[in-house]
Amino acid sequence: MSVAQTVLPDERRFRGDLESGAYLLGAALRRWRLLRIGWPHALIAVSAAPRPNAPAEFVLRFDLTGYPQAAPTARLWDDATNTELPENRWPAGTRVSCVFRPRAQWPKPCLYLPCDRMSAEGHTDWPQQYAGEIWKPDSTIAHYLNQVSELLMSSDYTGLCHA
Amino acid sequence: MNELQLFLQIEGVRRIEVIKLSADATAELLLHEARRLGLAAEEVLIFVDGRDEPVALDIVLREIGVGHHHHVHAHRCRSIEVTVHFNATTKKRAFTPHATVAQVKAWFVHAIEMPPLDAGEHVLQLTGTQDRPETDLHLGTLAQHPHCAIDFTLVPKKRVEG
Repeated sequence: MSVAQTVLPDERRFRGDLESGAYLLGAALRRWRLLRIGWPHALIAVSAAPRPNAPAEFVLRFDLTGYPQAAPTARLWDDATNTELPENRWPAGTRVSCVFRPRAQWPKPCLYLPCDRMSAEGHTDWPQQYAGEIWKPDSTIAHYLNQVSELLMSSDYTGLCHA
Repeated sequence: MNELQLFLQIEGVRRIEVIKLSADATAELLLHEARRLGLAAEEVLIFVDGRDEPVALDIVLREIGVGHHHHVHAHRCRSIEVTVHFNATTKKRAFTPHATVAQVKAWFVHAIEMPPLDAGEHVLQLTGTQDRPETDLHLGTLAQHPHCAIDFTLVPKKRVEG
């Protein structure tokens, strides 16, 4: 039996942005790949530069409620266990560890990025300080993914926390 | 493959468009797409991956090596005069409109012999602004005829703090 489902405007917009040039370019360059959508969540794997004993990609679990008027928020995810990725398997570096902050330093379950909804809460100076990085209502998911991809492909990324 | 999916960027518009053309499409169809996307001017030139000169409009894209997921550009400037500053150093060079921001940075850090690790921690910013264009953007998206020039400053990447 088929069940009629209503696609909400935020999901419709998100799925439309998966066909945008910025998203498809990143996918064509293998910077990221969509694993699956279970609205309001989406799992997207972001490729990382090769490092000893580190994975080729990290999975982000996005909460896209209210997209794109509301910014996405994301955390690292273990797709095999369907739980948050343990901290000893988080990516590390100087700039990288500022974004993937251990919970002892940053209790919210999200990346510490100006374009992240949860991170941006309370940071009233970020729109001025990080004007190019913050989320705007006309941003697309590629804006968030590009910032994560840049970090994971940078020379600053050194591998996993525990290594 | 019967259809080409191409990434099109046009003069003065910071957006990467995906267009689908038949495999036997000519460059003139790219011009039509550019006009449909808002580049209404006459004398628009079409640039494709791997060629520094604009292509003839009647040429079949496939016959000059344009393939799936290649990049194309529509612009009135034949070249863009790029200036990059870093501390007391300034360098200039002409690029095609379909050169990317990433290509300019690669040229500049090589020209000033910046070590790769340091280069990775810097980014191009439009001089006099806080605007750091995405590295995938073509230069032509940042310049509009008749001002076929861009002025960048190489600056350190920001660490998210606070």
